[in-house]
Amino acid sequence: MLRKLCSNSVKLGRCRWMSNAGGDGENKGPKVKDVLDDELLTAIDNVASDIHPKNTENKKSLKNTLINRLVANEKSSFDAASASASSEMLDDQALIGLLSDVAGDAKQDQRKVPPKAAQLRQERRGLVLLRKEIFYQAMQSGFTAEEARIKSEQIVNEAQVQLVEQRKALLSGIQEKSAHEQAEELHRNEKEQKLFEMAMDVLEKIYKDDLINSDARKTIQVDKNAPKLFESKNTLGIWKTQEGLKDYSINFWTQWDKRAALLANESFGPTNSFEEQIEWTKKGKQWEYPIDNEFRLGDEQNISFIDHVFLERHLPSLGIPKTGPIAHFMHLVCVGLSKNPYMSASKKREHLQWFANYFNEEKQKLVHKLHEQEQIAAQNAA
Amino acid sequence: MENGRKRRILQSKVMIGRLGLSRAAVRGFASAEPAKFTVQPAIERAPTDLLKALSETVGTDPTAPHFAFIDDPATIPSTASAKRTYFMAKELGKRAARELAAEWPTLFAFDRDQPRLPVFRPENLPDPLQIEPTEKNLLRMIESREVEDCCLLYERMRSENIDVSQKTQLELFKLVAYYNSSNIPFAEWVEWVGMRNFGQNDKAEWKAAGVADLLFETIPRNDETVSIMIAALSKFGENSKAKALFKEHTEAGGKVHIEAYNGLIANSDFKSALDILKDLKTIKPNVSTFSALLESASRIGKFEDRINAFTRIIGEMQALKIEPTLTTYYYILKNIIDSKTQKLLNEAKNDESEKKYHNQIVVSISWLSEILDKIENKQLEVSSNNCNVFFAEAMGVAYRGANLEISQRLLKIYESSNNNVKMPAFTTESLFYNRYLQLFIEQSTSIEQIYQKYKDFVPRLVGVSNSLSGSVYRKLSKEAHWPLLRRVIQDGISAGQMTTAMGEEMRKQLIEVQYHTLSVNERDEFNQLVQKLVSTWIEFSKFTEEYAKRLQRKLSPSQISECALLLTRIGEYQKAFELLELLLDEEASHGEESTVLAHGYARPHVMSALFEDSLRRKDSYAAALCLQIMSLHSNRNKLEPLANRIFEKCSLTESQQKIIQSFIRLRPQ
Repeated sequence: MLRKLCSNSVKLGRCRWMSNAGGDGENKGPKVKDVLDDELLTAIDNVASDIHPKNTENKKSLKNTLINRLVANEKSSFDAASASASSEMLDDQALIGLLSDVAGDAKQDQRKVPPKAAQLRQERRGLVLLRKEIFYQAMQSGFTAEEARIKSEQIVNEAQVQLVEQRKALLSGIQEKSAHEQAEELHRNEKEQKLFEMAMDVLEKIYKDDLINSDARKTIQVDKNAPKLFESKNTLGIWKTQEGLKDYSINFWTQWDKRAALLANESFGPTNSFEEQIEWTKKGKQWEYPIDNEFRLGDEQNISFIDHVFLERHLPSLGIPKTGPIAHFMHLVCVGLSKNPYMSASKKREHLQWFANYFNEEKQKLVHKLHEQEQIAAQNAA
Repeated sequence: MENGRKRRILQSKVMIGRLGLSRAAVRGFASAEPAKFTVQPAIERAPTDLLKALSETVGTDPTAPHFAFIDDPATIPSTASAKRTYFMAKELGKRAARELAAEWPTLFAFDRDQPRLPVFRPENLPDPLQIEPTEKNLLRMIESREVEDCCLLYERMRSENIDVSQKTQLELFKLVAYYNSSNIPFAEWVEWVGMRNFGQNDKAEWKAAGVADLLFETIPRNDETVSIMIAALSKFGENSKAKALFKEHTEAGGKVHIEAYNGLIANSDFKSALDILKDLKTIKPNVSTFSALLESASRIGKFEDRINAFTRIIGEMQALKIEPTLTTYYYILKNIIDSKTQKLLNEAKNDESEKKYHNQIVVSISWLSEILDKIENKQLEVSSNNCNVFFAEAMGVAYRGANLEISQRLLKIYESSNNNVKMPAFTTESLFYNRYLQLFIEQSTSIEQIYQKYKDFVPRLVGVSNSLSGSVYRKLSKEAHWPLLRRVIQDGISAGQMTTAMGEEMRKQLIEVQYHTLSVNERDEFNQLVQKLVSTWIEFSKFTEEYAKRLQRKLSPSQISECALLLTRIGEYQKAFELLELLLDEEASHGEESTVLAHGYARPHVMSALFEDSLRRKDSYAAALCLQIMSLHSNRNKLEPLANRIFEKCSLTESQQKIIQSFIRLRPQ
């Protein structure tokens, strides 16, 4: 389709007779074949050869005269039609209807590809109608008939070129406006731009092709002429500056509003397992990082390991003998307690106190006596 | 020399890193010049810092469902309503357990854990009618924002003539005025996220003669209490009372706080709002004042006047150097297009209303672009609970203007690390992404890009819906793309679309697939998908038992023909023709146990495709079956050429031919 579009725009270049016939001298004018039917041309040929069957020069000049007359006739009929009908046709709904019909036809089911020739004919028909429409619109916006004719031709061609470019850009995924396009926009004045946009609109509809976004709505672009939000110098005129203004606010109201806003910002809770752990940590369901074995240890938090491990230093004050079997036994008790991680230091001291109470003087004597007996027995046995 | 020393220090530091402190110290002592080093004090870290760093690094997994749904893959919800049901089911289950634990704590008495964590032992809230009526208890209730309980306790204390200090009364007044003597709205629930986001409160009306009114009469009137009352009355729609109070207080020489002004302005028309503001000249306005002004300006009926008011308000903010927030922009974007024009456009489309709408949408798009210019690369923070709605509203504007470029800019801003404003995931955010995805699908020129985007968004961010699947199917009918089709159908299956109108679309799309263009793997996928779909449809039709009847979806003749065609595509001829036989089986379509709908007819183009396929395989039985099915709705003239084609292509015995010919002859003309 793209190729077809390009070839069409080239063809259009040839069909410029409507604008160029009355234009400046530099333009070569249209080709005869574009203006007159083949049948008519053959008829001219026949007439010329009938009148001057032998004289080729006369024949040629007669042919040229006939052709020129016919072309002039075509042009004048077009001029007459356009000039006289322009005022009526400016608001001619039928023409607009026809245009939209053409667009509608072009939009029909993409799968049934019409014969190429028929499609081309339809597109050409659409273009001619579009050119006419632009011409009338231009007339309405104050251009002379001659200017309007040139404009209609030029605008439709430009629009077509731009459409081709846009399609190319779309297909290659380029979003930016081409520099060329921007430059084009600059050289068009407001009225022309309006006509150009209209032409683009219709052309886009005519060339609905097999692009997959052909049913997409038309993108509404940023309008540079729209009123600006930030650049307006208008103010309410109530305050000039913040100077001299006092804060007079109910703080709690603002804070509570803020609280509600922050809650709304929390969405649906955690979005990964770390966020979940953060939540647990905040609620006190999970131990805090970095890992600390003594986290929330309670009463023991401020007790040194010395109080847990070095327990023998308490023995003298408890009245435990320094030597002998009780001292030996108590040494073992201290070692055992020092290795117990499940008992608090005060509980350990309580234990020692209990042993101290147990080994009172009476018990000490008894143990001493029993120990001596043991030793004697052992010596005898030996 | 100096350089050498520096190098040595550096080396020693590295050594410490590599060898550990003690070894480095030994080396330092061994050398002639002892290296000096200092041990840096440990960096103070908050308990969650480490987790935050990890979370930031890991981020969100875009290939998995939302974290709340990571569970058995079979249960992962894919539509918006399934997400809501799933989330709420989980949350309400948790709430029920919490209630049980609070109500009957002895059931969970076997807990000897140390340290004992109160968070695992939920307790019932104190009953205001049972609790000791003391000021301390009242203050505790105020602290926990149990508004209605506070009111009950306060009233009980009054009836029992227990004195409540002025200070406590003021605290209570603040609470009941802010919340209209009602419990906090769902939107402020802290613990229960699902209720916070899905719960909807009725529009609250001011509770006349409630505790707030009572307290207002009791406590001394000053600027603060009057301001609180005005702000509260405005918040809950009592505009006339608020205005009367404002007038009364200012006439008595009082001055109200900015929050009261904000409330009054937000509820007034623009002209009166400006009049109110004139009193405010010495008080510093805040950003909420301008939001309130924008809200009042949004009531201006005429479009030109409205946008003029918006620009003036923004101009004033700029003059005062007050930075607009997302809420400010939200009010602007929301109110450029008036609902009247939109309604008019929906009701009767005419040139005038279209032009009007077009003008408004052009301004919306242009202003949105200006706003995006402002907020791009800026740190965005929450200022009010309307901040997050800005993104959804802006995406709505971009969608209406069919402007993909702007929507992409917006998406980039939303997803950037500079943005701390997040929309609630399954409600507003889902709407935001849905709008973007729909726009992308509509405007994109490449089916591959649509596939990528669809894969990224559905069903994690955007729930599967008929409109979404429909728009993808529309694109697929323009350009084939097997992976995308497969994905959309699979999503459709899990979203329960098979038994809706989308089921028909699935069959249509699958029939249109050019089987020969698929690769070996893709053909395998196609086969599996067709098998799965057809067997599911058949299974749905077989729910004939009384208890399962509500689930039954009978097969329609057109559905049978399409399924048969799909089965022949994958070479399952026997299954296909067994299915087709159902169309000729009276018992299948009549009676209690019927599995086929009695009305409807097999699709002619599908049947002719099946017929052609049978001829190609020279399967006279299959061709005759197709002929018989077609004869249900065709006349003799149409059937005769088909019969002749069977005779041509298949080698039939004479008696077989005779049977077919007489069958045709018996058909109506």
